[in-house]
This record gives sequence, structure tokens and C-alpha cells, in this order.
Amino acid sequence: MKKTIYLLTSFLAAASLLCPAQAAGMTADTTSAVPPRPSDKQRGLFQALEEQFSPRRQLLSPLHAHPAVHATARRHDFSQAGLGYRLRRDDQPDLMATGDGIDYGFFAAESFRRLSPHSTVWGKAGYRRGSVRNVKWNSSSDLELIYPYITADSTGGDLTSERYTFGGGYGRQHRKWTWALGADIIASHEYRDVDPRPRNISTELLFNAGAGLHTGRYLTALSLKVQVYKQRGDVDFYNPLGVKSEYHLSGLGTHFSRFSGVDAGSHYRGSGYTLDVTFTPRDGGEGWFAAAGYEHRTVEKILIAFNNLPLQHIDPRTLTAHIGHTAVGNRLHWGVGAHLRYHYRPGTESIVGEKISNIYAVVGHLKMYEYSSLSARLDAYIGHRDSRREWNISPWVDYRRQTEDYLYPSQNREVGHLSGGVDGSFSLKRPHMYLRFEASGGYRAAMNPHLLLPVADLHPSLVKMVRHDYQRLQLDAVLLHCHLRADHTLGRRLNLFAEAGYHFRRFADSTLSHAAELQVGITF
Amino acid sequence: MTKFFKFFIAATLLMFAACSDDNNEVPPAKTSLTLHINMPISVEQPQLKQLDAVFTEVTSGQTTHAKEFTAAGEGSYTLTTPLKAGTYNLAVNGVVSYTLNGATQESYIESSREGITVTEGQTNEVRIESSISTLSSDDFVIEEIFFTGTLTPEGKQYYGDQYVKITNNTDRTLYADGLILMDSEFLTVSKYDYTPNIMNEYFTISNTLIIPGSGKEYPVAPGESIVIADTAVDHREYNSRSMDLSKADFEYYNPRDDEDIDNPDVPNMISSSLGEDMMWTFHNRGFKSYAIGRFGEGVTAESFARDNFYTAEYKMVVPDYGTFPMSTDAWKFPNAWITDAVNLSIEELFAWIVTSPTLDSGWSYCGKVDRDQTRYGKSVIRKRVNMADGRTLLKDTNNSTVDFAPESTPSLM
Amino acid sequence: MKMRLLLLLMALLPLACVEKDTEPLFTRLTLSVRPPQGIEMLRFQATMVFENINTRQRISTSDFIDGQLRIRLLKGLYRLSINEGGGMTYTDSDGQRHFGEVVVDNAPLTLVGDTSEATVDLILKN
Repeated sequence: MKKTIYLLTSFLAAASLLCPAQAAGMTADTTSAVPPRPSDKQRGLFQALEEQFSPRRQLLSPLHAHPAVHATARRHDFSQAGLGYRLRRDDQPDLMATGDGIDYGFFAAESFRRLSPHSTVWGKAGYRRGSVRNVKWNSSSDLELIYPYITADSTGGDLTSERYTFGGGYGRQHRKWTWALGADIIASHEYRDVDPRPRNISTELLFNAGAGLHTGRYLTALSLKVQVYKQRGDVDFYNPLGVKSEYHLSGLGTHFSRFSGVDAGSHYRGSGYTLDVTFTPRDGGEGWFAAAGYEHRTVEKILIAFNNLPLQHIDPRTLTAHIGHTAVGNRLHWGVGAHLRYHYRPGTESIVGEKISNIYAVVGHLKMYEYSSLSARLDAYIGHRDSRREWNISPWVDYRRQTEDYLYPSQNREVGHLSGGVDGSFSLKRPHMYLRFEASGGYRAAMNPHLLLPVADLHPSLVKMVRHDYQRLQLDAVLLHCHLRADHTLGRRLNLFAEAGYHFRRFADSTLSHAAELQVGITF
Repeated sequence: MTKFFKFFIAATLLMFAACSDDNNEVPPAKTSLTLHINMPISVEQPQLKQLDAVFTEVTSGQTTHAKEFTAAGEGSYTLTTPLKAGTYNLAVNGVVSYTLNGATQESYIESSREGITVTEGQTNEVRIESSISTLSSDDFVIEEIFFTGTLTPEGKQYYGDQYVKITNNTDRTLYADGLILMDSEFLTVSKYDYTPNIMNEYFTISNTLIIPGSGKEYPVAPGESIVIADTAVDHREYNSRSMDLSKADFEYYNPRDDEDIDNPDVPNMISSSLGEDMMWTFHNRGFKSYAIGRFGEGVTAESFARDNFYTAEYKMVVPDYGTFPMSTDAWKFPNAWITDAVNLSIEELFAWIVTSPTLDSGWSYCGKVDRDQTRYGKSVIRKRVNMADGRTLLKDTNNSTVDFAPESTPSLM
Repeated sequence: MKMRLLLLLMALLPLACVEKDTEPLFTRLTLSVRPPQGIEMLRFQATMVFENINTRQRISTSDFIDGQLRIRLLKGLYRLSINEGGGMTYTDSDGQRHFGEVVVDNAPLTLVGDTSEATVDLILKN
């Protein structure tokens, strides 16, 4: 597996580097809507950067995940490959299960090319390796996907984490239709070298297919995404004298008591699909956009040591809706968008019968857990661009309410967050230099937090964990961010870039969180 | 566009309002709960002397004690306490005096309830039946089993210092001659449908250790104990974290084991196992059960071994491969010959008790998970109860879960 | 479009805030105790403990009326036991009145229906 991923990553990196010459040749005679002039390649690359970082693109980014939209989303070819380092340090972790810091080195490459006036191809590859610090109550990987059914222990520690991503797609226009196909694979490997020693290997495969109908300057598209997920997780103890217990968490402060112990090896098997319909301007143009989507997934946790016993499963469902408008004036451009998302995640536990003759029979199921998240976000931007500089101001407001229930014994955790802020960016073009500076500030206010735990019926250390996470959730926070990027021309269509970013959060209890990222690379 | 913004703001406000009612924290109202306590029917003239009812509010963990009670007719008492509306767990402890065989005695009573809902504006009542175990053993009982072994200062497992302490729990002298210590063939951590199922009449065993003697050689006074050691030496010479078992009353010596030490000052147990290559050993993770007993009238070790052979057949299911018929050979020891039995297991893997519930309906433990690193140097020790006549007896209600203190410090350490 | 979004919101909001219907999680058990053959049970007095084998939650009750108990339990697999001292007064075949402590079989009960009925045999201790 590891070898395969290395080969694929290397292949894509090589392909990305070989691609420019071919792509440049293709774009020389392109007849797409607004093609960059072949005699002005350097300006084209800067335009591609402008497009890459444009607030319009940020606003429509949820829609670009759909292949038919993705195929027509850009006017300019753009490829980038970079090496970087990312770190985060929290005085207190947001969630114990995600740790209080990260140290990652990474490689990331992406490319979008028009092969002809009627066809586009895109791809990406990435590798990330490093450590997650002080992870507690989580021995599993991909928390956001399998939550709440994680394997956990009270000891925890640092986790070494590797992640590979690889993907690509192809889109083609035929008369009034655009169709596109895409596929992605994400593989991760996380482990620890001291007891308890989790070792998790996960892979997720995503296949996308989409078709869109051109109506004037708009594209109405339908897309289907199919996902397959697997994770194999083991927890070993090398201490010959004994071990500590691993828990199979069931949500909030509950765990599946019968199977807590040392045989914590598990499989997660998941699948799902997503249906989206989108209405969006073609080729990065202006106008109205709208989208709606429905995602249905299922992930099952299976205990290996208990004759592959299916212990728990979740059936997350997500509804999304987006609507907005973008416009480009003579010099001013503006846009506004609203995004709604409802996520519902019921969790079901097996009623496991008596073990007789080495067999555990599942005699029933109980839906014991529910999580829901309702969020609404309003974004707007206005900006000005001339031949040398561009500025953008993007105010936003976001409301999100999360509700989590374990039904018996009754537990509840909920909190709302109203956040608002302004992002600003300024970019400057010089003959051989493109500079971009971003800064943003925001405030997150927690609203109506509520926690109900039957502490007398729960494991005290799990109560402590739930209370800790709740305490963090209900804190107001100040959010600040700044980012600087410089692209320097190296050749006809080759830039060297360097960028650095810094995120800062200050919570109401005066605890701080710092995150920083550095990256150098090339664009072409 | 203006209409859209209006709509969006309205929708957002609607979301804010949607759940806010749930979160208005109103202090729960005070109400009351009446507890009815019925006295045990197993004794005569029971009277409640003391009571401590502890109500634990499950969401806060706060406790409320109530101790004032009043008589409510024959054999019944009530206690009323103010409580806030909510959900409570209740633990009741009390002292009851009663007449048994003409003598006045006192006993502790315990009871518990979970998830009692106390609602404002309603009559909140709970009824509990108190009970007193009047069972008292009339023979030897297993007071302690130290089966886990110890660790060396280097953190390595040390064997040979396991022991069993057997105590005369009567008011007369008993003789240990011929007393049999036996271990179960079945494990408490893996259950099969064994056929024929003989558990209601027999204890299925694989090894026995028999105390030698002709019948009157090893008297044990009331309340006194004998210790059967795996190896009766001062183990501190080999492991500073172990103990001195050189004063044990009996030891197990395996002449086929070159490493086993025979203390000439300590009589050896007579050992017998189903197979020649088998030997007595304590399961140091606590998966086996142990019992003591005596052969019935006219039965010798030889005749027992000859006449009580038992083949238990069962099915082993291997997922994806099929079901395989299996069998295991053992001896069957009549329940009627058993004077005491103790089931051992661990919480992580417990599957069943391997004795008839009339012998032992519970189980005790050292360690909660398989290969628990905290189990070493711990034993299971039977609790003691004070009798009205001033004697202290070992608790023996044939339920090891309540009769034994798990994970205790060994008495000989 | 706006109307559709409003409808979507209206549909979603109740999902976020309704009271949870937990009733399908529970079974209503009617449990009867059966004395050994040959004796007539006069009164049964015991605290019965229901241990959910999967969750390890323990529920205890002594609300027996004429040897029968009605209780609401989370559906699941339960091991039953009788607390120390629990027993019954009974008359034997000779008409003699006694009190005897009892235990119940250790084999678990599977309770997965909305309602369930079970009878457990009482075993007199030696």
C-alpha cells in the first residue's frame, strides 16, 4: 500500500512538472471563453494567481467540488507544487481527542489544465507527515468521519501521522453538455511507539461523476459522488506485565462497557453517496449561483477479536444549500452568498447476545446517539482591481448550533456559535513579482450552551473529558489571521513562491492558540 | 436581493430562537420522596435501629442523606425527605435487630435503587424490601485465594508464592484430613453448551490436591486457618517483593518438576490430575474457579477417579470455517460433597459461572482486564461479619461477589 | 427559490429541537418467579438485580406483587441475580412453613421486544 502511494505521488509530481510545456502548447490555440493570450504568458500566470485567490472563488468553493462545475470553473490554467511546514500549539485542546498541537511537514501539488477548448484535466497529490501532540481519549483515526464510535484510552500521547492524497479528474464539453469524471484517494497511517500503541491505516476512495447543461452563460449540473472507506485499527501493549483498558466510546460520556479491555482491534467500513445539483456561471463568470446537495454515508465499527462483531454504526446525512450572486464591474467586483448546512448523525449500537461456542450474535439494535449541526453563513465581498493592484474586503457572519444526545442514560450537550468577522486582502503586481497580503479578524460568541450528564452513572474520567470539551466549546474567542505570499518570476511561465501564515485565537479564559504555516514552491 | 437579505436574517433569527427555551435554567423545585422499608421476613420481630438513605442526584453527583424514619405498621417503616425534582440513585444502609433461635441479634441491611424520578407535584414513593442472610457455614470455607503471584523488583513475573487459606468457620474443631482442593475444568471466560449438562449436580474439575491424614491428624480450631502453599519456602530470598510461606501448613510438590522445591518441614498435598503430564497450577489471571470438599462415604481417590470420569462434548464455531464437534475430559465432583466454592473471573471476559448457583452465584476477581498489570500481589479475601454473640465469622452467602473483597492485599504479605 | 429555502429551514428546525422519543429503546418486562416443585410459595421477598451485560448498568427492584414484577428496561441482554438474603416463605409437602433463601439461574435473558415476559426458577440455597 505504502509503496503504491509513493509511486502514485511520484508519478503525479513528475506529470505536473512535465505538463506545462504540453499545456502551454494547448493553450496557444485555445478558443475557450476568455483564454490567456499566448504572447502574454507571464501575465496569464499572475491572472491565474488572481483567480486562485479571488474572493469569488472562495465564495463558490463548495460548488467547485462537483466535477462538472470544476471542469468549467476556471479561466486560467494553474499548477502549483510546494513544500511546507505547519504547526499548531494550543494552551488547551479544543477537543481532547484532537490533541493540543500539530507538527507537520508536507508536500502538496495541484494542477488544472485545459487540454483543448473542450476538455480539461486536473489533479492533485499530497503527502503530510508529522505528529499530533497529546491526543487523549482517541486511539482511532479520522475522528470527524467515525465520531462518536472511536476507540479510546485515558493515557493517550503523541501520534505520528502520515497522510497521502491523490486525485484527479477529466471534463469534456460536447455541444451543450459538459460531463466530467473524477476520483480521489486519501490514505492515512497513524501510530504511536509507546504504550498504548495504536496503529491505524485508513483509506478513502471517492468517485465523482457529473453532467451539466449549458444554458447561456450558466451551467446547470448534476453530480454523484460515491465513497468507500476503510480503517483498520489496532492497539498494542508491549509491556509484558500487562495493559490498560481500551474503551469503545458510544457518545458523550458513554462507552460500550462489555467490550472494553485489551482486545481493541477494530475495522471501520463505510460507504456513501452524495447527490448535488448546481446552477453556476461558466468559466468563472459573474451572475447568480445556487446549489443543493444531499449526502448519505454509513460507517460500521467491527471488533476483530470478537469474531468480527459489528458493534456500532453511524448513518450521517447532510443537506446543503448555497445561493448567491457575483458581479464584476469595470474595476469593482462584488459578491454575496448564503450557505446552509444541516448535518444529522444518528448512531446505533448492537445488542450483543451471549457468547456461546465462540460466537457473539447480534440480537437487536438500539439507536442511542444523535448529533445534529445546523449552520448558516452569509458571506459578502467587494473589491477593486486594476492592472497593478487589487484589494478585497470580505465581511462574513456565521451561525452554527450543535446538539448532541445520548438517549439513555440521558445526556445532552449543545452549544451555538455566532461568529462574525472581516477578511481583507491586498495584492500587488510588479513585472517579476506578485505580492499578496491577507489579514482577518473575527469574534466567536458562544450561545445558549447546555450540558446534561448523569455523572453518577458514568466513568469519572470520561465525565472529565466531556466537561473539558464542553468548557472549550462554550468559550467566546477572538480570531486573528494574517498571511503573506510572494511569487517571483523565474521563467516564461514559472514562478517561485513563498508564503507564511499565522493564526491566533484568544479564548475568554485567556488561553491562546497559535498556528503557523510556511511553504515554498513553484507555480506554473 | 433586499428581500433575500431579509429572508436570511429572519431565518437566522428563527434558528436562534428555536432551541432557546430548552436552555432557560430554572432551579428545580423542592418536593419530597417517601421511602417505604419493609423488614426481612426471614427473621422474627425485626426492628429497624438505624438507617442512612443516600440519594445521589445523577446529573450533579450531589448527595442527600436522610436518617429519620418512623414505624408504619408491623414490619414496615417510612422515611420522608425533601428533594429537588430530578433523577436519583439511592443507596440504603441500616441496622436491623431481630430474634433468631431465641436470641436477639443485629444485622446490617443494604439496598439500592437506580434512576428514581422525583417529580414536582406528584407523590414520589419508593418501596424497598430489606433482607438479611441467615446462612452460616457449618464447615471449612475458603477464606483467601492468592492466585496472581508477585512481581520481582525488576518487574518480572514470579511464580510459586500462590496459596489458598482455608478456615474453620464453625464453633467446633474440624479436621482437615482428606479435605480436597480442586480447580474447575471450565473457564469462566468462555462458555460452551456442554453436553451432557451436569452443572446442577456436579462441579467439573481437572485437578485435585488432597490434604493427607488418617482423619484426626490435622485439627483446626474454630476460627483458625490452614494455608496450602504452592511452594512453602521463604520467597523473599528469591524475590524481595514476595512473602514467607515456609510456615504454610501444606504445600504442593511436583516431583516431576526439577525446579520445584520440597520443604521437608511442610507436608505435601496428595495431588492427582487427569493426565500424567498435568500438574496443579493456579491460573494467575483468574479464569478458573476453586472449591473444597470431601469424598463421600466409602469413596477413595482411586475410586473417585475411576467412577467419575466425564466427557463434555460441545461445538466450536469458527467463523467462516464452520462448526466443529469438540470434547474435553474431566472429573465430575458431586455438588453435595462440596463445602465451599469460589468463582473467579475478570470483568472484560466474564462469560458465566462454572458452578451451580447453589454453590456460588457470584464471582470475585483481581484485575479487570485480561493481563491486567495491576493484578499482581493481590488476592481475593472473604469478608468478615460480626455476630451478636461476639464472634467474628467469615461471610458465606454462597455469592462470591458480595462475600469476597476483590483485589485485596494478601494476608501473608 | 426563497420559498423553497424557507420550507427547507422550517423542515429542519423541528429536527434540531424536538424531544427525543426514547420509548422504542425500552421493553416492558413482566417477570414471574417460579418456586421449586413441590412447595407452595407464601411470600417472596427479594431485591432482584438486572445487569445489562452490554452496558453493565445495574437496575435493582423489589417491587414484586405475588411473585410478579413489572419493570421497564432498556432492551438488551440481562443477567439476573437476587441480593443477599432474598428468599421466600413457603410450605413444603408436609404443610410445614419455612423460610428459604433463594438464587436464580445465571443464564442471561434476552429482552428485545417492546414487551416481554419471562419466568425464572427460584433455587433454594442449601
